[in-house]
Amino acid sequence: MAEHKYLMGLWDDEEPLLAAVHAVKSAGIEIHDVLTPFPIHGLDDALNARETKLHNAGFLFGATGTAFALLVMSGISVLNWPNNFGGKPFFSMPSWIPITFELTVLFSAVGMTIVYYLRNGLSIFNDVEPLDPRTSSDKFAMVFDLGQYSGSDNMDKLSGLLNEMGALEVNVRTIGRRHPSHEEQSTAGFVKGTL
Amino acid sequence: MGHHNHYVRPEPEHYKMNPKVKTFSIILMIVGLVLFGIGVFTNMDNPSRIFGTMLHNSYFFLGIGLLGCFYVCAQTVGYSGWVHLIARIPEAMARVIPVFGIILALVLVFGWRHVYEWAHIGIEETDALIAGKKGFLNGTFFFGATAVYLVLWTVLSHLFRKNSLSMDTDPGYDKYVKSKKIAMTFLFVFGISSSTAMWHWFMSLDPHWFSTLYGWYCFISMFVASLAVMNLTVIYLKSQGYLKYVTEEHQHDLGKWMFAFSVAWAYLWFSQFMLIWYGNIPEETIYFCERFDHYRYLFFLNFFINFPLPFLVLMTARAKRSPKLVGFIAVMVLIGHWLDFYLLTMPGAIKSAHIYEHGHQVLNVGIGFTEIGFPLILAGLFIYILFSTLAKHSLIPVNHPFLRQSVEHATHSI
Repeated sequence: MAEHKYLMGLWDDEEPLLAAVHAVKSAGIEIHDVLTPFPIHGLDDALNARETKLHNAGFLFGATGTAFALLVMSGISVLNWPNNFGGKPFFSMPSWIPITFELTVLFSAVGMTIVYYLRNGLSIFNDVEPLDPRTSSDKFAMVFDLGQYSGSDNMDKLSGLLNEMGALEVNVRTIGRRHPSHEEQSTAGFVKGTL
Repeated sequence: MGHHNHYVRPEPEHYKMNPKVKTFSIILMIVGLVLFGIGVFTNMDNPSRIFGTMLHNSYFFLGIGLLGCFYVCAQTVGYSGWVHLIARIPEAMARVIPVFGIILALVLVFGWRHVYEWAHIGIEETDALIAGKKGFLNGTFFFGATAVYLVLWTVLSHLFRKNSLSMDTDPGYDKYVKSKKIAMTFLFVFGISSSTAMWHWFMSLDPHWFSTLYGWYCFISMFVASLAVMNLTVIYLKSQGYLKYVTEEHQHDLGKWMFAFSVAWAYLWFSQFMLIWYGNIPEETIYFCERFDHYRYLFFLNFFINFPLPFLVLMTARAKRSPKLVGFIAVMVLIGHWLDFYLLTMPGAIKSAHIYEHGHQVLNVGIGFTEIGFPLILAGLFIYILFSTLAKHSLIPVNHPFLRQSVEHATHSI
């Protein structure tokens, strides 16, 4: 797995973070991601977040469920083993609708869940290293991919800007190794003023 | 971001009724009156058709206002914040309740013996099933209950609106508490009467037949129509430059309501159909047989226009944010639920009368001058009442405690 180096600015409130996102954006710097403990109104707009395609997947899985249910039931009750139930036709569409509905919902829900976890890298097959566990508790982080800002001038400018915008901490974090070495664990952490 | 720091309290916004709206509603009424006049003149021998149409349409427009009141009451009880910028629209829609209530009451008083088979004199001697339902289907109870429904709906919707308007000039937390109390009372009354009124006025058109979810079915059908009118009113007012605080986010949510309740309508339509189809008992299936045999195209059109069409068109978030698409679907489902009530009313209203008055059955009178003229009259009246009511007060409830939540409302679901 490739190594990735990230620069993170940390805040402890949503409003200064939102202000900082706008400032950084207007300075023309690309933000890799923003990590927050809860959804923040206006953040998606500020980041120009792309519309999720998850609902397209949901529609396709749902349509698959509909087709699957109708094919299996008509296969069984018309072709494979026709039975007379109360004089109803073998192809008894109305009585299949509830099952078709349920399978549509099931396929769509399960399919969307699987796609969601596969696409965001949180599936059980991934060994996930959090950039900073405090972002799921009480801290708000703005993350930059240092692959793009490797020059030390740029780094200084960036961390200067973050400090100016009221960041409590500015850290560099390297992730992507399955088992970080002992040394790295002790230094890659959350030391203020790494830069 | 800015709105978090710079919230400005909205000023009252006064709608001035466009003279074109007035002209349009008057033209609608005149055209409707002419068409209905032709219809009445050519159908003098068939009063059940005329009164059936009048029953269908006077309830249809009453129901749109009634469900507007239900909507704003349910939102109030549910601590809804986002709705208050548009809440004055359903409140104004509820103003039609007394007017259309009186029209409906007149139709029932003059037409009940023409449209209800159970109201034919002496029917209980020849019809054992109707005789068995005499405790519910008799003139005293029917008109007594009708009066109670109409008076309660009128009074409670009036109290709710009056309290809401009084907040504009004389704010106070106690007014908010009072609005919740009135809303709860209305919901309690409406929870019962929305079903029982439908049993009295519409299910009894087919007095041998019954369905346990009929009340909910009628309720949801009217609710979608009412939401369609709300959507259209918001779109119209925005196009005229009003409701400037109402954003795409509010329109998105109103579109969601219409979308969601179209699905709920289909759920109930199908639940009623499937159980009767599966049970296959003649006295239950007769209801669908009549509609399927004599109104086949309308029967399928009704389902298509009210479920697959709004479901597929309004499925994406982007569609719900497009006033053109939402407006188109709102018009379609408004026609669709009008058609739905036509199919609830007319087959039952006309079938019995002919046997008694002419000795033979006519099962389908189609949609002619009568059926098109009368709703045009009422639509003109509805539009006139709605917009002249909106012009009487601020479109924004400026002192509502949840107004800021409504102004800052955002779903960010794109």
